[in-house]
Amino acid sequence: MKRSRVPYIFLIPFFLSFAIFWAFPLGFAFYISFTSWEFRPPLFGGKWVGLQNYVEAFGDRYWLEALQHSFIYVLYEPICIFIGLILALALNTAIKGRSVFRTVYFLPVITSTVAIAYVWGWLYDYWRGPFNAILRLFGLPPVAWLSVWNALYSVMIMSTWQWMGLNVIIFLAALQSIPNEYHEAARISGANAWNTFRHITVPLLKPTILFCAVTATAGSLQVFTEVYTLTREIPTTTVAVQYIYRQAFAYLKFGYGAALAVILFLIILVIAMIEFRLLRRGGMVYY
Amino acid sequence: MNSDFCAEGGWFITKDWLRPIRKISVNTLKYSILTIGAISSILPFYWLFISSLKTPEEIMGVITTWWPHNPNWMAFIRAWDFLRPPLPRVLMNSFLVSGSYTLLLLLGSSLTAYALAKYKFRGGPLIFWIIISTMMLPGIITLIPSVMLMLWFGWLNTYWALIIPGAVNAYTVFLLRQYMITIPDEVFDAARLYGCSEFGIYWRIVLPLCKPALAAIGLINFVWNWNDLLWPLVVIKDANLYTTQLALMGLWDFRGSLPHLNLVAACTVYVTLPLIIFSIITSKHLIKGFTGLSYTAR
Amino acid sequence: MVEVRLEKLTKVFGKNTVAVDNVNLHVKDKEFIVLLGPSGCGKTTTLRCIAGLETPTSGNIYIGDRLVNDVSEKDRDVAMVFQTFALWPHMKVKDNIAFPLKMRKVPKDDIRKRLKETAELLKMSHLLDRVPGQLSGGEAQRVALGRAIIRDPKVFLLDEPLANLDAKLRVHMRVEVRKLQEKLGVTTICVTHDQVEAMAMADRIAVMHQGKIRQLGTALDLYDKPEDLFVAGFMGSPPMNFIDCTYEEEKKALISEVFSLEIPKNLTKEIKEHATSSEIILGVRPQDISLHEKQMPNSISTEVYAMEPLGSEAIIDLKLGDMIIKAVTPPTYRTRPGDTAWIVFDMNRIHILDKKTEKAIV
Repeated sequence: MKRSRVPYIFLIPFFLSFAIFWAFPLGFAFYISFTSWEFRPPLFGGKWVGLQNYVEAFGDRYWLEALQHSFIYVLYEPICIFIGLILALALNTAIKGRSVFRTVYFLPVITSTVAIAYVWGWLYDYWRGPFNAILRLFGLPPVAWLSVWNALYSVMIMSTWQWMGLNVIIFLAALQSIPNEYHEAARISGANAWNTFRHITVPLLKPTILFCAVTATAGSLQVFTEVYTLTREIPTTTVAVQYIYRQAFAYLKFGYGAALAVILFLIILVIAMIEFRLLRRGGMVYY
Repeated sequence: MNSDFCAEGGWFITKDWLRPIRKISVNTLKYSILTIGAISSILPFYWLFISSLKTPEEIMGVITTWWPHNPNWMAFIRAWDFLRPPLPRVLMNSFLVSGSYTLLLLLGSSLTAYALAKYKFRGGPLIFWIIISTMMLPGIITLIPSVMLMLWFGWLNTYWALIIPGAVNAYTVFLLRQYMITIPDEVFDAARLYGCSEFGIYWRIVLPLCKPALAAIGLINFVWNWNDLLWPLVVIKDANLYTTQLALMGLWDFRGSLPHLNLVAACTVYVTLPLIIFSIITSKHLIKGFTGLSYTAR
Repeated sequence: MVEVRLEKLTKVFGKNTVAVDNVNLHVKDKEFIVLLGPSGCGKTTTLRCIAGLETPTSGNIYIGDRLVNDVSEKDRDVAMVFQTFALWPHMKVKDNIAFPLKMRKVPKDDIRKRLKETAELLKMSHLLDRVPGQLSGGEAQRVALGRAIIRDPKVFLLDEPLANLDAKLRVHMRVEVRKLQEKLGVTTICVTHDQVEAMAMADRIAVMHQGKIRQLGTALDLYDKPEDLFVAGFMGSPPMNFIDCTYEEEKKALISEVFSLEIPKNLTKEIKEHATSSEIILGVRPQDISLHEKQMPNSISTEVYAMEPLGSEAIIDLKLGDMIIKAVTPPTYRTRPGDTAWIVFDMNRIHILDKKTEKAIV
């Protein structure tokens, strides 16, 4: 019957796209990582070198530093999630102007990171930036936000600012999906506001927190635009993807770059799985 | 009397006659938190705006001003050409690219989602599982090979490189499939009974029914694509094809340059304002799209 | 001694949605009272006011002898079973049930003891380690009940407790719930829209409509002596037939276009005294109509319109003028649509209502 072939036909775009733009690159990346291919003429001169790229990576001080910076950067995540949760809780109960607040928090999320990085560059300006102006107003010493020591943390602050709105939206939806009766039943059973929050709300939010944490980790470890735009010239903020970009497209060392990408890929995978296990065990799996 | 039944908490929480006072202070706390959050969200935008209005002299002065002495709108006029390529071209590029990308994405993903949602066939669950697993995999690894592909297809430095590779996106397929599953099967049986072709069912029944989901998911993908930097940076060299992000990035050397600051700021405003307005208009659907993503947790 | 008293309870939503309108109710100690009425009549809102989940616009609520208007719901010592049971899905059954005690900071051993007792009482000891997602409707209801009774509340509040159960289970559970309440001796207020349920479980029933209590009484009171049109039409299945007519003083009869019905003397006296006009609504329950094949004294001619054989009885739809009335007959009654049937009303059991929703006689 013709019908049984139809789904396969419908899936052709998927098959094509998947094979060409996903499966092939994935395999090819592994292949390239085992070669010493450089993107110069002759364009296809990849010589098989086995694990040499990987060995080199382990000894590459700058790569390790870049990884380290990426890991530190990820730490902005818990703070961002926490702030998002607090705001969502407040927003969930506040009635007046809820959609206004929501839209305001959302603006940074949909604004281009390049633009944000430019603006924050001006905000962080030592002499003229408003941040230091406010500090001076309170009699506090100005901070060298974009110094070699502080720059990475300043980027983290900027990212917290940009993404907290996303967490607000996600948590708000999660909070609103909890039926009112759960809270009512708790209150009638003698729970005050704190107990209701602790025993009912938080456990029910755990899957959402898990989701935010895992996706944010994977995303943050791949940070690029923020650093590339705000602190490109500050070596103490070079992050992993940035380093890969430089190796592959500035120095044209495709083989080496691919190996680094594979390493990062595996790291993210492992971390995501660990996170998943950890948070899942602490929470409950009742879906 | 009342405290017989109190679980915990100090007298502030339990005495009933304190209820109104309690309510007011909780409300104050709530709204203060929300307002602080709102102000901090707005502050950078505000700064951007006034930076574009200040004269270079004012910017170069050491004193930080919160409102320009003489709001100077010249920057906005000069910024029109300051971007390379000029603003209209850049905006057109981005609209073209992001719009086509989104359209292609929605069509391809919805077809896939429909096949997975409503047809039982061998390999269905397997394919779905594959899709789920691709969602978890970091994209960095496909960066370099994808560039090679673009080279082999001859798509480097063309619009194609920006539009085609995203045609099927795991999250989109997943969300649409979840949405389509909720459509009752009888709708399809009835359509077949009345002689509708299989593709016709997809085109005339499923797609219209999925409009809210398509709108929401399409919007977030549009926004994401518009703001993407890394991929366009890698595949586009020709300034005429610059998207908004690339064009803005082209101003990088000027970003700290005080005499040009107001111009850079004005350009930034030009580049971000369309999307902000667009997002505010579509905010309802946009937000639904983002919350839909979080349901992939379940 | 726990009585519940509502004095002039009123709840208004928004600007002018009056959900509860000046309700006065006195629930006696250990009594099982049911608030009965169609959707939107205000019964659930009233219940929630008693629980403390809604704040009344005006009026007083007394639990025991205590005025609880300003008492938070967690301190009122009431227990509530929600229509959807509201079991917390992330906690095991035993944690769900023990939660109220945990909130009271009851020592762990006591909690364990009470948990065991309650589980045995409701015959669900085998469910304690399960998660709500694994329970059937009936099991979930028992857990909800367990959570309610575990701390010996002063008042039980039940919000459509049987609505989410399938039909067979409903019939079984309404007896169980009632028995449980009797055993525990807790004052109980239950809300439902199902009159059969109400009549089966309640000591007294308060029929509510549009925010007001129309009538308060035992099931039999409401059934035999409805005081107004709404209550008369609401109680009983199939519902009471209502026939518009006018009262003719000279003939001592109720007249309409299609019939003339003589009324015994005691009734006419009542009509003369209490009726505000000669416009009358005659109410007859289907069970109080008898059908005959030949004309009888004081009978009315009707045409059989349809017949519904239900096994234990048969419902006959009869055409009387422009309207259809229903009569209940023994299952063996034979008739066909189109036949003529002569109906006789049981004069001891008719209801005569003033068109302005008032009643004159049984």
